[in-house]
Amino acid sequence: MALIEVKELKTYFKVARGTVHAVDGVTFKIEEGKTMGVVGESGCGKTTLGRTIIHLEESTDGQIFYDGKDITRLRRKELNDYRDKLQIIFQDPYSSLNPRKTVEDTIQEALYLSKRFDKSQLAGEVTKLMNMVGIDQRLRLSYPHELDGGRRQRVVIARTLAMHPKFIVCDEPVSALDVSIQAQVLNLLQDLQEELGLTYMFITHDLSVVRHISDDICVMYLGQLVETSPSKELFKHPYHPYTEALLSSIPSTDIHHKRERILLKGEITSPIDPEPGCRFAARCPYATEACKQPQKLEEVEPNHFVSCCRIHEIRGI
Amino acid sequence: MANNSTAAPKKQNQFLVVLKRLFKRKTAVAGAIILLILTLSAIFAPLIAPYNYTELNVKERLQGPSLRHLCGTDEFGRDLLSRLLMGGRYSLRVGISVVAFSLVFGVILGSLSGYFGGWVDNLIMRFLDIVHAIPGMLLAIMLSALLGNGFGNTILALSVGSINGYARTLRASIMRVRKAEYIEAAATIKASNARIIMSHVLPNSIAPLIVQCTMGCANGILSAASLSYIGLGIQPPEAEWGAMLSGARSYIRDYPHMGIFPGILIALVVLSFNLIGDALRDALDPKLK
Repeated sequence: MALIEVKELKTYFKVARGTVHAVDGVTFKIEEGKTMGVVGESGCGKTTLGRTIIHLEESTDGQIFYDGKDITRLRRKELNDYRDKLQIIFQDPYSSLNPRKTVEDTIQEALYLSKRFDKSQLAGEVTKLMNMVGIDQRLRLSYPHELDGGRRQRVVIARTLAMHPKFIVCDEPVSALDVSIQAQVLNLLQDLQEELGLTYMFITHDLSVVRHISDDICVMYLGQLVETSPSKELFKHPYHPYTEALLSSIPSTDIHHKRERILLKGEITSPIDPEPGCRFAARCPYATEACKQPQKLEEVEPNHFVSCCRIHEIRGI
Repeated sequence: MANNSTAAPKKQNQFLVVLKRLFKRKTAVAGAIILLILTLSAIFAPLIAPYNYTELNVKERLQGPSLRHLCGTDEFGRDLLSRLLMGGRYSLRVGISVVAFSLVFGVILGSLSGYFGGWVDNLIMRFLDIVHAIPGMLLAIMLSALLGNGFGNTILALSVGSINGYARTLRASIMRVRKAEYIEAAATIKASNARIIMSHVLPNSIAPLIVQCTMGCANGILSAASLSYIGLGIQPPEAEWGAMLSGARSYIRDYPHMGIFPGILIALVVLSFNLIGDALRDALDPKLK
């Protein structure tokens, strides 16, 4: 059974000019121990999707299942039972750590609040967690401003692990870090996944990162899922026109096979009260009248879903 | 996992760490010494004072400083030094109590208002607006007349008007901090609202209040004087710095010493609090080690 499953999930925000459809009818499953990569450009709702699943935002409609149980509408008390299991690693380790707490205090507070240990055990558990995420013990009493980005993100990861989570939303956990540090943190996340059997939802706009770490990939465009498939398959056969354009933006390292770059024209349409129909139609080179109808996610190959009514025509499948 | 770690540094008592860092700053030491001298002289005033502070001696009225009367005498011939020493007992207590009282209520109202926002914020802020609409002095006079004389009542009367300032400063500061990701992170590790406010929000937003407190102390002393001037609060012949200062106004041209000495003392109190407050703010900030 899938550990996390969302069905027709919607998260809307009311603003002065209307309703922002940040997440608009997203459906997918994440199997236990796997990593689901979520890609898309800025503002496509991928962060909101992650935050909605772990109840940092309230969903407007649809359902969220954890281990088969519907956790969409939980009261405060019930929510606390799931808080430990559903955690998040924020994008920016410079703002997600309290500047007035030492490394030890930050990790210890989470351990204490997880209520899994006696007070006397806390210090020892902090040591274990610090070793697990690779922070030297001499930094135990350091403050966040004394650490570099990679170490800070390790502290954030340790705080998350202190809650003994099953599912972690990684919200662009490496995009604020130097490239040289990114790989270290990614490897750490993969090692921890193997060791602790964690399930990740990995949000990013960096395609090389998502390819490296994900088992499955969801491609989002303006709050909707346009394509989802196992990672390898997606990179081999990007069916949806948007995915195709997105993947063509990865620089090629092979000089004999120069990749054709597809340059999208036009602006991303507004997520405020959008028209029904394909959201990508305004920029899509294949768009016709038929695209003004609401789109359905269709399984074109085993486990490979695409939301495009013209997919058979344009790809010849 | 490889344990490549060197020994962890020893954890020290947080209070002692801050204290140590506080007294590393010369300004804090200077402020503390001034305050200590003023406090000690107030405590031991009855022993040090050379004369009875209420004793009238009309023959020696309005004298300038001399060996006989180090700070001179007032319009009734009372020894100014003795009155200053005894007055310190009252004035220091008033200054500190007013700040403490309004600070406690200001912090409670400001945190609730800034952290929860929405209708809680609206309710508290509109209530404070109403209090704020009445001029501070008038409010103090009203409350003082209502409650009657006495130390506690005077403090209460003087504090109510200044709660507003503390609450608003803190609220603004908290609204900035509240949006930070580490506050959200604290919520995801199941921290209660009380814990989030006490250990995440307040430590990061209290700094602007510290400066305000040091100024509030002087305000307290001077407002207390205004109250006693119109017959509320402390009554003559009891001594008090603010009252001595305002009483000296009519003699300022010919006998300036009457106003200068209490004025200097009030300024010294403010200065010492200010020096300590500034250094404390820095000592509490781990970024300024």
